[in-house]
Amino acid sequence: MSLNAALFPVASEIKTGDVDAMTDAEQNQGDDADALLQQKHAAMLQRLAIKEDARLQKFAARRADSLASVNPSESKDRFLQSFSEQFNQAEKNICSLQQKVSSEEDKSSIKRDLDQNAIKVLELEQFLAENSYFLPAYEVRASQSSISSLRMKLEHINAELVSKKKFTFKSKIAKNKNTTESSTLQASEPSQVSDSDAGKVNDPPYSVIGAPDRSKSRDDSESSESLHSRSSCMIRDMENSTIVRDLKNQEDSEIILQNLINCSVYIRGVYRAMYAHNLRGCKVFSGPITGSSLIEEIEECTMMLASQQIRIHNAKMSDMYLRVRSRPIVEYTERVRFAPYAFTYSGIENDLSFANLHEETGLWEHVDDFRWLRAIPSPNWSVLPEEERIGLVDGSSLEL
Amino acid sequence: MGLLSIIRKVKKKEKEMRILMVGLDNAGKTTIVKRINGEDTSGISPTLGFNIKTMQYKSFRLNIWDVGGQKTLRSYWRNYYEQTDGLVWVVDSSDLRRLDDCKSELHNLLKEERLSGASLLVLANKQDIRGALKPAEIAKVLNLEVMDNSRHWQIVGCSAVTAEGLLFGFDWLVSDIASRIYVLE
Repeated sequence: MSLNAALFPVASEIKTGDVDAMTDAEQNQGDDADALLQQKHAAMLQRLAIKEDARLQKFAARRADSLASVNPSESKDRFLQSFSEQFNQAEKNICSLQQKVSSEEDKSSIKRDLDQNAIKVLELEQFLAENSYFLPAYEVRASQSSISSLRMKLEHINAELVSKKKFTFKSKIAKNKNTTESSTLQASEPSQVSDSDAGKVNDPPYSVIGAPDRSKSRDDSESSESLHSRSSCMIRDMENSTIVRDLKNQEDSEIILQNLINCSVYIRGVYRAMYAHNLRGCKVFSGPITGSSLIEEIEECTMMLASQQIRIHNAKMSDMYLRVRSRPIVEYTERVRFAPYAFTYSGIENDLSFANLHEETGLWEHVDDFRWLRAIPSPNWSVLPEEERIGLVDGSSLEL
Repeated sequence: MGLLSIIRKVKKKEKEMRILMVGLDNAGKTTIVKRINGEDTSGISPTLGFNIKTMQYKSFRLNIWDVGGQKTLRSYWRNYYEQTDGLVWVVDSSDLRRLDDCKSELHNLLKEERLSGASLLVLANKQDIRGALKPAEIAKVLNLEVMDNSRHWQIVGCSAVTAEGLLFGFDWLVSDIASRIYVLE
């Protein structure tokens, strides 16, 4: 029983003693007062007894409650049993998958199996994480290393499956770390990861999950090209030229404009993103962009863009004709003027509604200057006066 | 029944995590947060300042701090480092020209002592764009392997437009944090 319960009777005895002493000393106070006092005293004792009862009941209830909640779900043995069941199951699946891969079976079915197994491993990891708060540190570490060994196996299979020329790390340290971590498991199952496999992919220390379907075909055609030339449409390093591009079925591609001097660029069609960098004295007229535009380091340019988002950095003396679904922003700009979008070509209506830009949003003049966070308007940009605007530009008749 | 087990129980009941989203501007941080929260992603303006979003993710409460990535705002990032459990670095996989910028900003961030305990999830966003680099290539360019011994990290290809990869990434982050803070303390 708790300390409180033991102390309690003592406390009430002291109280009654006090009352006795008082009645001895002040007998001439009269019986009325005495009776009242005793009545009060009795009432208080009763109240205290009720309180004590309630407290004891609450204590018992809480105790039963905690016994009930601790035991069933937070047992280490139960966790270990269920974990090892799941783990063995997952391991068996992965091993059979490994055999399938080496016997060159149908790739798509293996891929599906692989994904399912990855989900299993993830579930196992979550199961561990959810229960980890009551497990001893050793069990958690051991379970974690088991999971990481499963994950490594999945990566081996994935690497073999996707392509042989996947890039590799020469990270010896990482490899060592992984093998020590999973040593507990490998001691009991020595044959799972063969050395030749490990050498082939060099144990990437993490799993890389990308867009698997598209990536395969792209790998084949472009693996030898440098990083910078594989963009779907790159226009760069030109002077005094007129460039016309028609985009058909390229809704998922981006346009990159780089290092252009005194060029005129017309882009008809809808695409995903625009990156412009280092343009001087250029005119750019573009069809709608379903994603964002990033415009950096332009000088004395005229640009007509319709886009979800537009960011303009380091621009000087340029006119921007925009239609945007959000507020355009400028940073480090000087004398940049804004006007509404006014570009057309045959079929632009369809493209605009595809990009959800068929309506004028009026946001072209709500520019945020990230270098000017004050209430008064930024001196770095202004609205282009109507009489200075170039009017509707029709790109329909331009030849490629 | 010791003090330790009581602390663990309290921790378990709270199950709160603080997650910091950073990365260069135009990477898609805000769009990702809105996408995983099931909100409309059209009409998102570039973030001037920051957004906080609290959401329930599995059995955890995530406090996601989404901080603007414009150059002018990057010096303010350090005001958000304190008590960060998970770091999400978002990369625009199709912005090849600024990958060097991206790398140096990331490594600057990782030097920060207050973030040394945080798990790192690198999201290689915009995988839906044709010219996007794949996560493995991003990992190589950003030189992520140097952290193998010092930090829990993971790179995941994703698209905020199609939501592909987002769930996987956050699953990893949440379970990695959970296995650290709800176990080892």
